[in-house]
Amino acid sequence: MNWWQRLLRREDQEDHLDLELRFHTDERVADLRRSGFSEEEARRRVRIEFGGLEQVKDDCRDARGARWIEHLHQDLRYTARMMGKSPAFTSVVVALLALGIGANTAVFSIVDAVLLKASPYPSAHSLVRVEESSTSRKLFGVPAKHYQRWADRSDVFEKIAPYIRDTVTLAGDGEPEQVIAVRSLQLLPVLGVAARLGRTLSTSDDEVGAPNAAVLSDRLWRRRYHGDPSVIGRAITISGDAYVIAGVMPPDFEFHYSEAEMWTPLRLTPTSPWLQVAARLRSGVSATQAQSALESVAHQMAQEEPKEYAGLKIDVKPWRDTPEQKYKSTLVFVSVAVGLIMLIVCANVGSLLLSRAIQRQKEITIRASLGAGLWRIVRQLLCESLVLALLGSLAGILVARSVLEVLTKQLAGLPIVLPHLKRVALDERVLGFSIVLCLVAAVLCSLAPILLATRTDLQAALRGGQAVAAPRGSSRLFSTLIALEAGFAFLLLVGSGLMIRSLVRLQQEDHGFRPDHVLTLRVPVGTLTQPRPSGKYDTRPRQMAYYREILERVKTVPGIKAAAVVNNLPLSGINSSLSFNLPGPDGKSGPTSARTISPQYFAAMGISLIAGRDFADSDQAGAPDVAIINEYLARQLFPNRNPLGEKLTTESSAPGPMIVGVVKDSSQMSYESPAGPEVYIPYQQFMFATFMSTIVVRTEGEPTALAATLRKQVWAVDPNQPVVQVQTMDEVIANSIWRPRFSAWIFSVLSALSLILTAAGVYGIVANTSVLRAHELGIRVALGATASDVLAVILRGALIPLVFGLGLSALAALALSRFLANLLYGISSSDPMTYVGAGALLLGIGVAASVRPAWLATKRDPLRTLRAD
Amino acid sequence: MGSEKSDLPQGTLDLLILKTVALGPVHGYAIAQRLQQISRDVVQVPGGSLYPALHRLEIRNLLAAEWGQTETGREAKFYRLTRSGRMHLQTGSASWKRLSEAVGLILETAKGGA
Repeated sequence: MNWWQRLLRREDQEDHLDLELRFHTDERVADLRRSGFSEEEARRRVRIEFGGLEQVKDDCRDARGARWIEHLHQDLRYTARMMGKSPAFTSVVVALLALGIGANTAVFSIVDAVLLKASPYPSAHSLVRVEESSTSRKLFGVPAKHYQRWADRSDVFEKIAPYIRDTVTLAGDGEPEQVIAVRSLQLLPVLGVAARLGRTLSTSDDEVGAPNAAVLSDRLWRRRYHGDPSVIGRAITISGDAYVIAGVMPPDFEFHYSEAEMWTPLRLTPTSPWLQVAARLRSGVSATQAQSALESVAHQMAQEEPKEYAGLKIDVKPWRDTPEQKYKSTLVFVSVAVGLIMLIVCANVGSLLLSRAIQRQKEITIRASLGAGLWRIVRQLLCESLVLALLGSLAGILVARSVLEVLTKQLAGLPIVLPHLKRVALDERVLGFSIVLCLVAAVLCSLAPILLATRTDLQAALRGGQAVAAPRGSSRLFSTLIALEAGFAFLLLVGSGLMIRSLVRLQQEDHGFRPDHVLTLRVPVGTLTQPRPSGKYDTRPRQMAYYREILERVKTVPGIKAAAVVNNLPLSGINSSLSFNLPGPDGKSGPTSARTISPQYFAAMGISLIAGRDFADSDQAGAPDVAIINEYLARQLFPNRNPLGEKLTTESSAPGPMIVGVVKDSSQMSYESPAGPEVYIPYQQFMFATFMSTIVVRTEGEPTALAATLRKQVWAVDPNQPVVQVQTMDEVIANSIWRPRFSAWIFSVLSALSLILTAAGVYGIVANTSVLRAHELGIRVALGATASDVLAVILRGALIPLVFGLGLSALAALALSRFLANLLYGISSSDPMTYVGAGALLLGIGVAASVRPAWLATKRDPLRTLRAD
Repeated sequence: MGSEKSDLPQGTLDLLILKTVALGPVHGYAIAQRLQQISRDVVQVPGGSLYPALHRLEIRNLLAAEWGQTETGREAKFYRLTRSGRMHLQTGSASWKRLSEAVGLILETAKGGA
C-alpha cells in the first residue's frame, strides 16, 4: 500500500482496529464472567490486562507504519478547530501570507522568464556571437569589409549570419508605422528556428530577380494584419520598396532585439553599416578553438594592412540572449525588494502566531505534561503554520495573477519591448517556486512560537495564576521581531529612497535643452541599410528639398515659435556619427557623434548658443562648409583658443567644415550618460541617412494641440510619406528614462507596503505586550508611577528594539547599497539624506503605531488588573 | 494464578504466534487463549503485545487476515498463515531448536563444571 492509499483508507483501518480490539475485550469479559466475576469486576480486570486501549492502538498503528498518518490527522483536526475558533485571526494571517507569496510569485515568474529560462534555440552550445574590437579605434560592430575576410572559414563555422538592426516604415496598407527590422539572410536558419506560418528566409531569397521577402513577428502579424493566415504571399511596401510576406514567426520568438518585428534579407556591400554576427560552429569545434582560428586571421590581416587593421581583435563568444545589464539588475533588485516584503510578512505573521501561542500557553503546557513530547508540540505548531501558509499560497496565486496583470500592463506601457516577457506565465516552474516559498514561510512564521515552546518551563507555567502571564523569553522574541521588521523595512526604504532621489536628480538636472512646449514628429525617408531608396527621394538633394518644403509649410502654422528638422532626435537610443578623426574621451580616435540640423534647431530645442552664430538658410550646398560644435568638443579640441573660425579635420586630407558656433552640451543617446563631443552640420550641406529624421517645433501653447495640423502640413507636401511617433519632448524624455521611472515606481509601491506592514506589526506587538505586561504595569502604578511613566515604559519597549534594528540594518544597507550604484544617477549609494530620512520615517511610524496601545494601557485600572490575578 | 510466568525472549512471540496460527485460521483472542493453554499458563501474552505483533506480521506478509464469523456469530478478524509465513515458521523453529539445544548444552556443562 502506498502512503496515500493508507491515508485514504485510514478511516477503514481505524474502524477495523477498533472492531478487532473490542472483540478481544468483549470475549475476555465474557470469559471472566463465566468464571464468576461480576460485569464490573471483569471489565476492570480486562482494562488492567490490556493496559490502555489507546496505547495498544497506537502500537498497532506503529506496527503498520501508520502512526504518523494518525498524528497528522490529529494535527490537522486540531488546526482546523483552532482556525475555526478565530476566523478573524485566520483571515488576517492568510491575507498577509497571500500578499507576500503572491507578490513574490509574480515577480519570480518575470525573473524566471527573462533571466533564468534556458536559451530557446536548439543545440545552443554551438551558437556563438562574433565580435570585433580594436585598440586603435572605436568599433560599434563589424565593418562589412572585415567580415568578408573571415566569414568563409567553413572549417570553423557551419553557418554564419551577419545582421543589422534597421528601422523601416510600413506603409500602403493602413496607417504608416515604423518598426524595427532585422536584416539578415541566414539568421533564422543559423538560430535553427522555423516559421509558424509560411517559411523563413533562405539563400534562394538572395538570387538575382528574387522578390524581396519579409518574415513578420507574431505581434506585427496580429496588430497590422489581424492574424489573417492568408497574408502569406501578400505584397507590402517597406520604406518605399516592394516586398512579399514569406512567413510569420511563432509568438515566443524574439531576436535579438526584443522589439524586432520583421526579418528581411541583407545584401552585403562593402559600404554596409556595422554588422552584428551570429554563427553556428562546425560540430566538434569549440568556441575557444574558433577564437584562436580567428585570432590568427586578425593577426594576418594586421600584417597585410597595418593602417586599417592594427590592434584588431576578433572574439568568438557563446551566444547569450541576456537583456541589458541595467535591466537585469533592476529585475534582481525588484526580486530582493519583494523578498524583503516576504520577510516582513513572516515577521508579522510570526508575531501574531507568537501572541496566540502565549494565549494558549496553558493548554500547550497541559498537553506537554500529559506526555506529548516537545517534538509533538513543535509539529503541531508547524502544522498550523503550514496550513496557514498553504491557504496563503492558494490565495497568493490569485494575488500573483492580479499583480502580474498590473505589472505586465505597466511593462507593456513602456516605450521599449522587454525581452522574453511573452514567456511570463504561471507555469509549473512558478508553482514549484510558490510551493517552496510556502514551506519556507511556514517554517519562518512558526519559528517564534517554537522557540517559545522550547523555553517554556512546565512547572512555572502550571503554577502561574489564572491570568495569562507573559512567559519567560516572549518579550525578547517580540523585541527581535520588531527589530527585524524595522530592519527589513529600512533596507527597502533606503533602496527606494535612493531610486527616487536619483530619478528626481535625473529629471531636475539641466540636460542642455528645455523640453517644455516642444512637439516632435518623425518623418522618415529610407532605412539604415538603404538610405536613398528608389523613387522620389533617391538622392540627397531630393531628400533635402522634401524637408525644406515641410519646414516652410510648418513655419506658417500659427502658434509655432520655431521649427527645425534633425536627422536623429536626442534620446532616440541610437547615434549618428561622422568620421571626423577627433580624439574621443577615452583617447581613441574615431567617429564623433554628429547631427544634421536645420536653422532654428537650437531655438526649437531650447539649446543655448554660447558663441558664434546659428546656421542660416544660406548655409547650403555651394556655400563654405560650416559646423557648430558643443562646449565639450570646444574644450577638448581648443583648450585655450577661440574655436570660431577653426576647421575640423576629417579622415580624408580635405579640409573639414569651419566652426561658426558653439552651443551648450545637451543629452545625446541617453539622459543618464554624460554628454560627450558633438558636431552639428547644416542639413543643406550634408545629410545623413534620414530614416529617423524628425521635425521639432517649439509652440506657444499646448504642443499636442498642433499635432493634427502639423501632420496635414507634412502630407500636403507628399501624402504618401509617413508621419510616425508624434510625441512631445517631455514624452520622449519620460520614455527614455523608463527604467529609473519604473524602478522608482515599483520601489515606492513596495516600500509603502513595507511601511504599512511595519506599522501594523509594531502596533500589534505593542498592544499585545502591554496586555501581557498589565500585571507589571499595575504594580508600577500601585507603587506611584504616573501615566506618563507607563507610557514611557511601553514606548521604550517598542522603540529600543526598533532603533537597534535600524542601526544593524543601516550597516547592512551601507554594505549592500554599492550594488545599486550603477543604477543611480547623481547621488552616492550612501547618500546621508536618504539614510537619515528612511530612519526618521520608520522611527516616526514606530512611535505613531505604539502610542495608541500604550495610551490604552495607561487607561487600564491597575487595581482591577492586580485583583484579576 | 499461582504458576510462574516467563518473559519471552526477543522474537519468540512472532514464532509462537505463527505456530498457533499454523493450525488453521484463528482470531486474536483465540491465539492468546491457546498460547496460554498450550504453555500451561506459563506464557501469557497481554493484548498490548499481541495485537501490535499480529499487525506487524500482517504487514510483513507472514500472516493474512480476513473478517469472518465466530461460532457465536460475532464478526472477528481471522488470521491465517501465508506461504512465506510457513517458511518463516520452519526456519524459525529449526533455528530455535538449535539455539535452545545449544543453550541447554551450555547450561548442562556449566552445571557439571561447578
